[in-house]
Amino acid sequence: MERLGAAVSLAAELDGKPVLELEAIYREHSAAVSKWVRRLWGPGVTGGSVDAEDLLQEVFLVVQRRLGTFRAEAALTTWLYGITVLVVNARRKKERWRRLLWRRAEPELQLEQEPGAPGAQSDFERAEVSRLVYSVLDSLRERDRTLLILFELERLPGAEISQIVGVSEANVWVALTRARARFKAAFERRYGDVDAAGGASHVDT
Amino acid sequence: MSTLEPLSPWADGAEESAPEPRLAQLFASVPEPAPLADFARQRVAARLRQRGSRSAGRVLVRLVAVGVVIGVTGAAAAQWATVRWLAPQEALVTSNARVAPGPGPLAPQKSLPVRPRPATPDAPAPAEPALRELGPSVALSAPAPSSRLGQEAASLAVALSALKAGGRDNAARALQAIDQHVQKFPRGALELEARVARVDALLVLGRRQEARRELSALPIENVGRKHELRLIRAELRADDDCRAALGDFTVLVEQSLPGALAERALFGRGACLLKLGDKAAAQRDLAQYLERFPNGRFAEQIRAQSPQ
Repeated sequence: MERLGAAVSLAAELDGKPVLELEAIYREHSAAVSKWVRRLWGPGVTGGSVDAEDLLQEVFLVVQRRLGTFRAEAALTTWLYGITVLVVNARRKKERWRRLLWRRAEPELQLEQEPGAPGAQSDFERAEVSRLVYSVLDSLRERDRTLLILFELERLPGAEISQIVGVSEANVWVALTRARARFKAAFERRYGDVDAAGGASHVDT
Repeated sequence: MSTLEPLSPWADGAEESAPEPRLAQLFASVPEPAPLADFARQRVAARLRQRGSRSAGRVLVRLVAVGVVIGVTGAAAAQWATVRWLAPQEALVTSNARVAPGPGPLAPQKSLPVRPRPATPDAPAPAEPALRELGPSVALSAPAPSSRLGQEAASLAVALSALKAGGRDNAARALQAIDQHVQKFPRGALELEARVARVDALLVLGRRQEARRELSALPIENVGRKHELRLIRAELRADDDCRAALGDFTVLVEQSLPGALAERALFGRGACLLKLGDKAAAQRDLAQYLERFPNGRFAEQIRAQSPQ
């Protein structure tokens, strides 16, 4: 991941004080952040009460508030990723409460996750797998879920994950090993033995 | 189970333990999400800019509000302190003047032991009048906002559970409960949720015109289910005013929503364009619909009506 890019004002850099401009950061990184938002939220992010645009806006509002505290000790992208994780997790927490209170919203949310046209068979299958993986991830604790997404899906290196979640790299590996074990157990509780014959397509969702 | 050794992603399948080829396969098959489209990100950028320009004003308003709160609190505290600590002395002076046998050097001394806080039965109780003076403001701030919210939520929950139970009878009960709720908590914190629930109940009861009026007055952007409500509003408007519905349908189609909402929005726009006589644009939408949703709920209808 790149370190500070064009988002740093050159004049300020010459003064030795990098100054980040929100507009420039947004121009350079909003596409990536919107991808992370979707990755961290899961397949339902584009529908229902939560949409990727809202989350993207929330992330950059936090970025705007915290720009002054960015010390360039981490790559800008890592810093942005950390904020995205915080924003998405906070919204997930809020949504859980909201759904608890307004349960009637759920059927519509599920409806929006219905698979697309059977004509696009491979897309359909991939969407199903994605839904299946996220259904197990969603049953885990927030920390396990985040670690597995960052490592198994985003394939970020341990050092970067440690900066994003704010623990040492050694602890990342320990926590990841435990998270994997919990994922496997949750998967088996839902869909039977992981090592059983048959692919994901045999899993009854 | 724990390790300090670096791991490799399951999907790489590089580990010897490669424990779970099936999990590796699963994770490898999860598609990479696409970034938001350019126009969607531009929309967010515009919203951020708008917020930025408003934030300076908001800071000023907040400062003024904090100043007012400090001022009011300070004034109340000063008033309380005046009555609490100075009134007794004034009262004592009055009382001493009344009790004292006459002007003499001993009279003030008699009052000295009770000066800080009059405890004798004769002494006036200053704190009570002071509290009585502050009474109205104390009474106003007494109910905690959270408990009021709790009452509101409990009241609305009655309506929502009826609505959730399904059926027209329950919807009618829900509507009644919502109307009672709105009467009990006018301008409550859950007002928007109550109004949305009212729309739901009216729709179940088939009272489309009322639902449409209610929806038209709702600030949809501030509601959680904004896409769904916008779609319902558009579909209701499409009954007799396709021109008004077209804007909502277009906003939804451009949101690139997946699934049922996108399907309904695309069909709705196509149908409205057809009604308005823009055949070319309508055919584009309906063809796109058939391409994206060949087995969609309106596919048969479109095929039946389109010329082969």
